Amino acid sequence: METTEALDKKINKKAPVKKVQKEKTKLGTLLLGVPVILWLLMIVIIPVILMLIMSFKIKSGYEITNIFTFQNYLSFFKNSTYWRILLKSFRMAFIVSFTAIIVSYPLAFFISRVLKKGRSFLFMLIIIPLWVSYLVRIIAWRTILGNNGLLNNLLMGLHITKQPLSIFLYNNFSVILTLTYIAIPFVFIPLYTALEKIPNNLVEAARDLGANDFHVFKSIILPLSAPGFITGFMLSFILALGDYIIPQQLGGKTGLMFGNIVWSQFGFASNWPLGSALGFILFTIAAVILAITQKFSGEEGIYM
Amino acid sequence: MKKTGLIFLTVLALVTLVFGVIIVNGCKPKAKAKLSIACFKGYAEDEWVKPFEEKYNATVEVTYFGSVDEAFAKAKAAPDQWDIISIDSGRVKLYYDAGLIKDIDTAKIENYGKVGEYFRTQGYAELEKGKKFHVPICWGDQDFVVNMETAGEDIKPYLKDIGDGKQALSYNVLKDAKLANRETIFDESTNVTNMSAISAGIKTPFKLDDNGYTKMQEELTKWAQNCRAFTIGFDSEMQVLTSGDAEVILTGNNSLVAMALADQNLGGKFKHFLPAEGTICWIDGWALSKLTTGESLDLALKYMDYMIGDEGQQKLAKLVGFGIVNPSGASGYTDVIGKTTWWYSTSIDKFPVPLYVMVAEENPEQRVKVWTDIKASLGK
Repeated sequence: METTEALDKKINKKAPVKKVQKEKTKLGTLLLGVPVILWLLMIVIIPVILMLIMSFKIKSGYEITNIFTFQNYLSFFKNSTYWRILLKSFRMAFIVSFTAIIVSYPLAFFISRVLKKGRSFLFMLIIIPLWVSYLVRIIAWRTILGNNGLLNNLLMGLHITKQPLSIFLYNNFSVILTLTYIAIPFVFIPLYTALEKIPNNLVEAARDLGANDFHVFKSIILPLSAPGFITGFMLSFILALGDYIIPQQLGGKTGLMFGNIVWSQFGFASNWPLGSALGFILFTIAAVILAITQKFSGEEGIYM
Repeated sequence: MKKTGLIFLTVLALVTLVFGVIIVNGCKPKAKAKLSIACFKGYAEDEWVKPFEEKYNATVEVTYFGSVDEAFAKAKAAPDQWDIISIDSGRVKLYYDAGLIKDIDTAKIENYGKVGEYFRTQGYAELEKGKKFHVPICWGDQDFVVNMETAGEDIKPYLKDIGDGKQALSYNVLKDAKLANRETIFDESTNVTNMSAISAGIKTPFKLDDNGYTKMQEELTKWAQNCRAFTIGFDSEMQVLTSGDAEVILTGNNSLVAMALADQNLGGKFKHFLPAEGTICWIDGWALSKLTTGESLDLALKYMDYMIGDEGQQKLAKLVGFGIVNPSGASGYTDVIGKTTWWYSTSIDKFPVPLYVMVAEENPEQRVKVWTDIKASLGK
């Protein structure tokens, strides 16, 4: 049997070896991070910096001059059209995210906590739309909601309406509906993960203490699924806020959103500095939303 | 002896290797010359691109774009990615001012003399004295397509006889409350501002002063308020027509729409009408990138030459159905074009309503702003 003294000596002898190993591991981790940092630099950070630099330039005739100016940002605040449409885009993005949460939460709850079998299959069914091209999904909705579309044919087939109704397409309703449809998988995935992670023993303990279904949901399920709730809401909000294709394709005469205004500056207007400034404003808003939700949801909520 | 033999073998091996490398490299086929084309669909079809590649032992790379807006954004973002680009008469100055294009030596284009005088003498292409920056290949106008089954009666008050038993349709149809939410116009600032300016009685739709802007904006706002949606290109126009989502549309792709509707056996339902007050005329053609040199430049000129030659024009007339610039190609028109957009198969000099050939607008940025403001006011 070894004495305590002998053991202490042994430990002290091994300590430097462990320290070296620990440092090696740390270096290895750092080296492993290099490609990720490079990737982030190339794909995210450098383009954003370039956009930021462009936003401080100014268009003169058809030339973009290198004069440093805040004029493009001032144009945003001076022109009521810009911030009015931005506010409208906020409103639309909020409605889309709220609706996507309302639809996705019961679905995620049912699949993750109620169903015993077939969870993976249903999970796949919900994310299958992500495999289909974005544009194809938009066109599909246009076909469903149009005058000769599935919905109108169904209503007329059931003798609910005599003529095709034009209220389903080319308005804010069709934009919200399609954006919600696009957002649902992005909301569902974090919600499902959050709900699935809630330990069953907590629920059982609550029941043992006499809590009914409502109390279990209110005191355990809802608070513990909050990170998924916030992450899903954030993803959906950012997705809807910057979209310009759905408003253009399905929005009709009232469909204009902020993304469309940004896009128009890169076309005939050929005002890339203003387009960059407007784009950067949108990017900053998205980044602030991301930061706030990260603060409230915690690291686990964002990365789960 | 052994050593000498070894040296001999080594030298022989080295010589063989060096000659081998030289022979292999020498036998490699010469790298193919390359021509990069950026254009609308229909201007670089396999039907003539493949034979062109074979004839000149060249590779032709084609990039398509869906709208003129998209074309300019792409061309400006990557000016080294295309040798020639299809642009219309109204954008030539835009590309020139943006420093994207250079003059074309038309003397090296054999068929240039076959292009009708009307097109060769247009001032828009001559941005520097004696230098051409655009080789026209076809032309077209913007007009109405009406679903006669559902809107035939409603448009009657707006029809005007233009001779030969033909009728034109007044722009006022776009303001009729009866047709509210049954019409569409384009989501393209230049076209809609120009056409609404014509409708407002302005004779210089491409050069608006403050008063002209006010009149145009009033007119365009009324159109927009009465519309159901704004279309973006051919697919979008076809979609609203075939789905019944709109019954009266302004189209920028009239002959393509006519042919596509005929293909779907829907041609009988729809009828094309020229706007009675006049319309804008785009002349599409090729512009040459400032960066095109060497073999690519030769190929670019040959490609332009082919497209304005008799065979190229016939194929173009058959495929896209728009007006052609070399009358020898007229035999290519199909019956569908003769019955629907019939004015393409006659001379442009006999166009039955006032025709305004598109040139650069006085301030495209201002027009984008006006159109954005109008759309924003509708979406409150």
